[in-house]
Amino acid sequence: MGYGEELGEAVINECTLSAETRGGYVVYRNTCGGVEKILAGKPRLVVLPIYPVLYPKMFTTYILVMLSTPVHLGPEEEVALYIDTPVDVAVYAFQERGGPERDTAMDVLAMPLKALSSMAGREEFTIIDVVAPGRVKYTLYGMPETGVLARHHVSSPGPEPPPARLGTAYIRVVFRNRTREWVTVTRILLDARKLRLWYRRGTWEAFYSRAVMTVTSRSTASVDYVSERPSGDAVAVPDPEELRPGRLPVATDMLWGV
Amino acid sequence: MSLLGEISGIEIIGGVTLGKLLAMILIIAVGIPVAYIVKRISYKALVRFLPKEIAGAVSRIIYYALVVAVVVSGFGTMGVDLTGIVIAGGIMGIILGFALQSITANMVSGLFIFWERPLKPGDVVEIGSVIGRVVDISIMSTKIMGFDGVLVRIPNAKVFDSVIRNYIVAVARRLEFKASIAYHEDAEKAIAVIAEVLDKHPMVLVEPQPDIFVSNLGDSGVEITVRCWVPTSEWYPTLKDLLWKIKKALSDAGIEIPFPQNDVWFRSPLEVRLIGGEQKGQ
Repeated sequence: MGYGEELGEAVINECTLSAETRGGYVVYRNTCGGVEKILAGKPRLVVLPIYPVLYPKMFTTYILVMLSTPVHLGPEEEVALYIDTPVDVAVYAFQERGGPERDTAMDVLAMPLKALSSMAGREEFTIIDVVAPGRVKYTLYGMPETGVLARHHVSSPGPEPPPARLGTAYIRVVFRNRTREWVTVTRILLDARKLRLWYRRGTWEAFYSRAVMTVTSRSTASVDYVSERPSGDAVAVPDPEELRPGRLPVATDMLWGV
Repeated sequence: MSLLGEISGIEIIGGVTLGKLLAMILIIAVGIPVAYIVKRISYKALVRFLPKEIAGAVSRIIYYALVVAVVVSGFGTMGVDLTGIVIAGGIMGIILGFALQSITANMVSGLFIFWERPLKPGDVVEIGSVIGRVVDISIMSTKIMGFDGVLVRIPNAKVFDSVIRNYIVAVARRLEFKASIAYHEDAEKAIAVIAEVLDKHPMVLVEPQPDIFVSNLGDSGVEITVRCWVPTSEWYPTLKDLLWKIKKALSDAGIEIPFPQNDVWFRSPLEVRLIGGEQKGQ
């Protein structure tokens, strides 16, 4: 079992997810919480990685990754490192909107992003369940009255991508110091609405598009997101509407410490 | 004398010349459109920080005040003495002011509430003894839907004078409760058990860090205060969930949660008599 594969039965942590086709509908079950849903038609249920802000319910779009090893940046220096970030597992239901019989060769999950968007008129999706394989904790970044809530994660930065593991997705971050003094970076704030999530089919490998964290003072920084298609057979995760990136690139400001 | 001067000096009625009449018409003809323009400008300026209805009402008041001023000025040029009307209007205003004191107070308070914005529709607030969600703020009153489903209308003057607690302005809110353990139990172990429960709960925020400490040596047991921060939207569900989880965790760890206890000592020994027997005991 891996991302992108059609759900028969999968065990994630202590939760057993299953899909059973009956007559004209599909029954989805999750043993955690006794979830049972009936899906009309013949939807394909697929397990995909999802941004870690939907479980147990969505009340933020931010992810705060604390670096277990601080990064000290000299004046106007920069370094590119990989960090791991949390990722949850979503069960997507894909359903054709009617029209001609589905072309099995045009499997939507195996298609690159551009082709995927061209399929938008033919196949609709919805997320029917989200499971968190890892520890779920949230934190406050900033003050209660002005700060933001964020999914909390601790990561150890390194020069290579960490091994693929269910529940984590890696991201390559360029830490850039624009000041003329030494700065210490201990955390990075990411916005799920601006990230792009990718996966490799049949594996538990998931990763985000690159980010550049530009430190502008000892306590402030801005995080920019690089939108580019990764090499190889990576497939983009269809973004739920509430996390769809805007058309204009907007940086995430870190105003309450770096 | 020029022809224009002669024409303007023509008396129409009771000493009112044609010139004065024309001047009055000119003042009114120019003044009323100007008042209208001022009304539009003031509406556009006010609507930026006040609701449409309030901005409309205030701009209309400005408009009518200007119209009255223009008309009084116009008639003044004709030599019509409006002093009596103005004095009468003033007296009427004072009478109405007293009669409508509470209405005026509510309206002014409503304006200040809109200006200061201590609450807005959708906020969960506590005003005096009323707790609920704000459903409407009008110029006269604020309506709150209580959690028991009862709609409460509070006059704005009372809202303005009251202490307002707004529960959803901040993104995170502190949750506090107390747990009590028996005197013979290890408080440090109990704190560790509670800390583990908080650590496992997804809604208990990592930062600001939870605070758990012995806060009181009570009559029946050692009181432990637990303070932690949770997302504001999840405050109530987390409160319900956590308290029971902590109770279960303490019980599972074999830590006794005491009942209120009273040890009663008798100064003189009690005599116990068994009915239907001859035995006596102390």
